[in-house]
Amino acid sequence: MKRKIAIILVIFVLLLTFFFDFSSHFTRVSAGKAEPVPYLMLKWGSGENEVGLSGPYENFWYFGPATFDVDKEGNVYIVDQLNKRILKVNKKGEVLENVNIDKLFHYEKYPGSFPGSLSMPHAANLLPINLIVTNKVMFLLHCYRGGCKNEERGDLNSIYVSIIKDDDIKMLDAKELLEGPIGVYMDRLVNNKIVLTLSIPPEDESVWKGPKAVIVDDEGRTQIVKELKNESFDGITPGVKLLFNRYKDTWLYENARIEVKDPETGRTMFLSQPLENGAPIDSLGISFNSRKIVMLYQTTDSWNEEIKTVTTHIAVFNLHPKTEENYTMVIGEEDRENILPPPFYYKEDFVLGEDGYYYHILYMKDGLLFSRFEPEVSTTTYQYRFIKFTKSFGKN
Amino acid sequence: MKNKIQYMLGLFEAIIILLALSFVVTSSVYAITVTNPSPNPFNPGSGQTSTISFSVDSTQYVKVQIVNQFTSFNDASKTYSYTNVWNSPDAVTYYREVVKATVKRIYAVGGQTYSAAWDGTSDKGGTCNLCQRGMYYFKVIPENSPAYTVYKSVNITQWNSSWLAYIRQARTWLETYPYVASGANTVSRDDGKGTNCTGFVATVFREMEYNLYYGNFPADGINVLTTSTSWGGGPYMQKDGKETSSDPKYYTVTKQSNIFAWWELTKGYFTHVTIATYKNSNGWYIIHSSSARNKVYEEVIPSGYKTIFDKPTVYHWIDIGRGN
Repeated sequence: MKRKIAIILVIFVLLLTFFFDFSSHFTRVSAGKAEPVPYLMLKWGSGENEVGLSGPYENFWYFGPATFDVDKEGNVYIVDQLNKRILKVNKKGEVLENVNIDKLFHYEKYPGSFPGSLSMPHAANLLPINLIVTNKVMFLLHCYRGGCKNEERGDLNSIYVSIIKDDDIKMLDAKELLEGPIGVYMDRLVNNKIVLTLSIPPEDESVWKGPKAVIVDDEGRTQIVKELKNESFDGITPGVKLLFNRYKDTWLYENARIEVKDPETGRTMFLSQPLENGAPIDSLGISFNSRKIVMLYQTTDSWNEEIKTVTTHIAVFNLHPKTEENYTMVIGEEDRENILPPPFYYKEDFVLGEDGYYYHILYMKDGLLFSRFEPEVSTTTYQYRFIKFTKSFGKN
Repeated sequence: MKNKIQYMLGLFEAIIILLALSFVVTSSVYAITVTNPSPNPFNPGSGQTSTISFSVDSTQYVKVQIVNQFTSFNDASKTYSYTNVWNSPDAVTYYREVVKATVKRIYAVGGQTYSAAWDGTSDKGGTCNLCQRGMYYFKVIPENSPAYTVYKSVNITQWNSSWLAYIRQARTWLETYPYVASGANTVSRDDGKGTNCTGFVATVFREMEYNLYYGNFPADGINVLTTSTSWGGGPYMQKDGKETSSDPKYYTVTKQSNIFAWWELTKGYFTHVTIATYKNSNGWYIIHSSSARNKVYEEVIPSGYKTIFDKPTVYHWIDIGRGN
């Protein structure tokens, strides 16, 4: 009897070990095309379900929406600063919420019209950079056009993060919190928090004395991050790291791989295959929502001078279950025909929604177009350690 | 009646005496003592600060500022004449250039000694904006008697190569507004006066003590800066080439402190000039007087440039060189 129990126990332990080993080394790798499919179109204007646009300025560029976010249900939040509001719109184009952001505009005394400057509407003084929507509040990273002042705060020559809850807005000076970097970026953390990170010139990195980042919660409380813990800012949200070798004396990455570590233990939770089989790439940005990572990158032949096309690669990585997807997007001359030039300060035209889809916005002649990337998988490879099984779909 | 007149005269005399006394009191010379800055020169790049001590003999507010060597001590503007790209006489006016408006402002009690330390930063641009090498002045202003303002010179050592100093100096202009359209011949850090794109690029060069006797030029005139002209000592710039990719990610010619000349496709000539500052994973950063931002701003090359401008032509100031 005892022997039987021992055998069962051994088998159970072996099965358990195999299960854990399998789950940590099994990866599904998919490849194919990702076509941006129209998701939602908001016409230009000031009506209930329209968004504001002004221009062209200097005969070519427009001023209008620059940042948006998408929630778990696929509802879109768009900063419509010319109409001084943030709209929550569903896929059908119905407005579900209209949040007034008039408090962000400070132009009573200084109308923003200075000699030689462009004659723009007052609302154009606000320059949104990035919007992150959580269960409780909205975080808006923004700055102001030069010349815009506020009597209470003095010059608004910085980058600010505003925490917006219904009509209540709390504004923090992000550059002051980070002790004066060149640029400020905002990313999502778990528990309704965001992290502000910075950009400083390479020559300043060795003498930089300021913080690495600042965490802001939904009440506007801040926490300085002096050191990262296993690439994590808060010790809870895993951080993404791009492992690479510098390609020759350029800014390109060779043998680039995505790595995610467990914030607590430092154990590697996810390690991707080398992107483009190790060939040099250039990163256009990495988005991460604690479950899924999306990386946009280009290769050395992405720009085709002859046929005027740009090929961008979209790599999608799921942590649980482990999957890797590699898609390509090609934009050519004919795609640009109905596209207006973007605003000069375009910041977040690609967004990884909380619903797991990847979105982007384009200024079309008729209105603002939201597209969702619908992947079309052509091959799938199942990989367990060194064992590979590839399946093809349709024509490659 | 006589008594009344005598009383009035007496009152008048008393008022005169009081006025005379108050004149003596208010016009008394305020002694202000300011020590030499220490250390001098200093190196803000390694975290050094330079400190002065001061005392006044009469209690009042005292303000300490930093001004650069181009500042007229009487705060007047300066006008430089030059020959423009069309070989016509032209002029540009510079206004006062306060680098840091308030290092310290304190209610100084007469006879007490106070100190003020400057870390080499300017008002604009934040921590990444350490002033470049050169001479600056502590300007110590006794606010009740500004005529007795004291200037004490302090030197910042060149703590890096001159191409980097050029970028540093450009950053001391960050947030200067507004963007002024070409043709307005004023260049100023003062709020509300501002600069155009070429005035900014050229003035930063002039601030590094190079003899470029014009403050702005048409962007299209950048070619002229590469040849010897009547502009007083050219050529100033050397052409490094033209980028072959429309995507700044794949620029191969550009190095730090290069000047980008942007050819506007619909107009058929150069309409914008910017300074390349650095590149990281976000792309190449530029600093420029931006019409869209309405101020001097440092940012990644805006994505809209791809559709509006041709690939940039790349230049560098010969005396300054270029970076990595």
